[in-house]
Amino acid sequence: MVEIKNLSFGYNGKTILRNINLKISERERVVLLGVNGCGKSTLLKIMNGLIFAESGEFFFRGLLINSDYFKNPENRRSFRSSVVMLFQSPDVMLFNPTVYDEVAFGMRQMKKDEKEIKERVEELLNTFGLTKYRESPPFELSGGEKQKLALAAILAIRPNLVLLDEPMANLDPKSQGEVIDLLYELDITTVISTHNLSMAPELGERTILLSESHEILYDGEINSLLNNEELLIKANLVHRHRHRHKEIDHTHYHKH
Amino acid sequence: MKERIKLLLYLSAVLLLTIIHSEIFYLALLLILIISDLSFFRRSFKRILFSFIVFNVVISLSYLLFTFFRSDIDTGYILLINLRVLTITCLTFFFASHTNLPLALSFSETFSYLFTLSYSQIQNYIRTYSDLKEAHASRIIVREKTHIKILIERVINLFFTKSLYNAKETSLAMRSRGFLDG
Amino acid sequence: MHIPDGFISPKVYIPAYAVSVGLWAYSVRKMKNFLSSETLPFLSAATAFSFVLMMVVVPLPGGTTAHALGIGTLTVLFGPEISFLCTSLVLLIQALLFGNGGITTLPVNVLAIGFIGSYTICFILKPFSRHKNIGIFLSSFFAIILSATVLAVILGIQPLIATDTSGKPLFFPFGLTVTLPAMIIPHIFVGIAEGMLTLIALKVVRRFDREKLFEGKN
Repeated sequence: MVEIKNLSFGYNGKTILRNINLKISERERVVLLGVNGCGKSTLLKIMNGLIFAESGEFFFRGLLINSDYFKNPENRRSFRSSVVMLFQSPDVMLFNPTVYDEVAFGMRQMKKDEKEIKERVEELLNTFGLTKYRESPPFELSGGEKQKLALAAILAIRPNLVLLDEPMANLDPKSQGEVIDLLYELDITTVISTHNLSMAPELGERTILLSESHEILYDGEINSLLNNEELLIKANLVHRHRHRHKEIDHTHYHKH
Repeated sequence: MKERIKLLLYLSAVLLLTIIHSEIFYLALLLILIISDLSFFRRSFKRILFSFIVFNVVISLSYLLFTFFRSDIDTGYILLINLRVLTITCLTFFFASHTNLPLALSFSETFSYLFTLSYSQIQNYIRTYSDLKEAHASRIIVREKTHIKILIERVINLFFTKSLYNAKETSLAMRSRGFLDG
Repeated sequence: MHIPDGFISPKVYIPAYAVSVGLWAYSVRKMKNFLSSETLPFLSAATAFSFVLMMVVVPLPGGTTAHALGIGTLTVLFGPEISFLCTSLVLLIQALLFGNGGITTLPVNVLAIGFIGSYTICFILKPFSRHKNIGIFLSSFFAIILSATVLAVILGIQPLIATDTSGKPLFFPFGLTVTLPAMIIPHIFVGIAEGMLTLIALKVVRRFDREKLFEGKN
């Protein structure tokens, strides 16, 4: 479904992604793991066709995605209705006057009929526990509610590939659990970025680990990564600090 | 104190650059600047050039055309003005990146606070603004004219709310850190 | 609007600095409690908001776009003193940290855009208390046109006041017959953009219950 070949990206003379190669097939659930600033958001934005690589290529369903691709409105329509992205801050995603309109926004652009839109919106508002806000402006919601609304809004158009940038970062533990369950029930391809190692196994089976030097350090099954302490230290995903157990004072690496 | 001396030096240099009309003087200053931090100018060359290139090219070309029709082509002016603009712009970029600006502007403590608070929020807003535009682009399936209006409304809505909220939070934080109301 | 350093003679920018400093001091004094834990955060937040308004691209009838300045929005929302101070600070930050404009063109921009812009809006807005939207659009539009005219005059007098012994220009080369049309005609579009931005902004902001926002909900 997704193929990225020898892709590099820089900004203002700084490298943000270095020689990225990866393939993602239909229905795969990928976790993009790495510390802040390693290039996770940039990689997701490239996969969403928002920015374009300086060198290397990104293919979606065999089509090369670059700025020329988007010059054709038909291409834009087909890409934007199958690949969606949840931004790290939900604030930037919500721009409709009511919660209902926010979720309906995508389907209205696709010229679905109002009856079908209404059914789908009500269903999603119900699933995400937002029904009571349907007529409120989105900016009156709390952080966690905004996150869920943004997710409902992008899922409404039944996309094939969902990119999520740190979806857990702004949520309290209860909402985190709810969102994990919601994502788990979706039968679609997801790429979820996180810097939280303990969260990774809940978000997908396959993990792609980005290093602080902006390269792929590991690509494979999550559990064997969790047992590879050397690699985790290299990616700075584990920390050590001193702590005391009764009278013994020692330090070791932590995965939490 | 050191930063304020840098500010004073910078301002005097700018003044000199607009009082002395000599290409040699501009060139000499430019060379000294560039040699003093080669890697900085190699990195920032594009940014420096882009900051004035459009204006200067328009003025230079139209002036050339203007003197051409008067049949006394004046290339001396073109050289003088472009060298001066280039030197002052390089100097400003050099100064801004080699100086702690809040300290340099701390002749008034209040102004220095105001500068720091404003600039840090501006940096934050620039990031959010570019995310907002990308998120908007990401959700637009079919382009329509009304979408730009929606985007503008959203920008104003979001940043107005953010500004009111930040004003209140900063005010609380300042009080919590013992800022005395004068 | 962004004139780089080097085109304006010290004969103009030094007096312009003197006037600007005077006006800054006057505006600061006019604000109650300038040095307080309320005013400083408010001014900095309004400055950042003003910076964002300058980034907004407004679509114009006919398919083109233009950058507005947000002076109208700031003045109507917060009054001319705050609008003037915030615009000045944005112009300073743009000159020093973003390479837009310059340190010698700063006082000229401060006076033309910040001061004349903000007070023009107040002045024009007053008689339109019954037709507010018309007043908002017209005042924003004419503020831009007047700012552009003042800048055109400042640029246009450079060849009159600063030439070398042979009469060749030392700073900006063209006189008023060139600068006035060259500045004013394109700024008609900027003026329309500014008027539209102010109308949109005030419509959005009016929807807010300001008390509620101040309770600190994000």
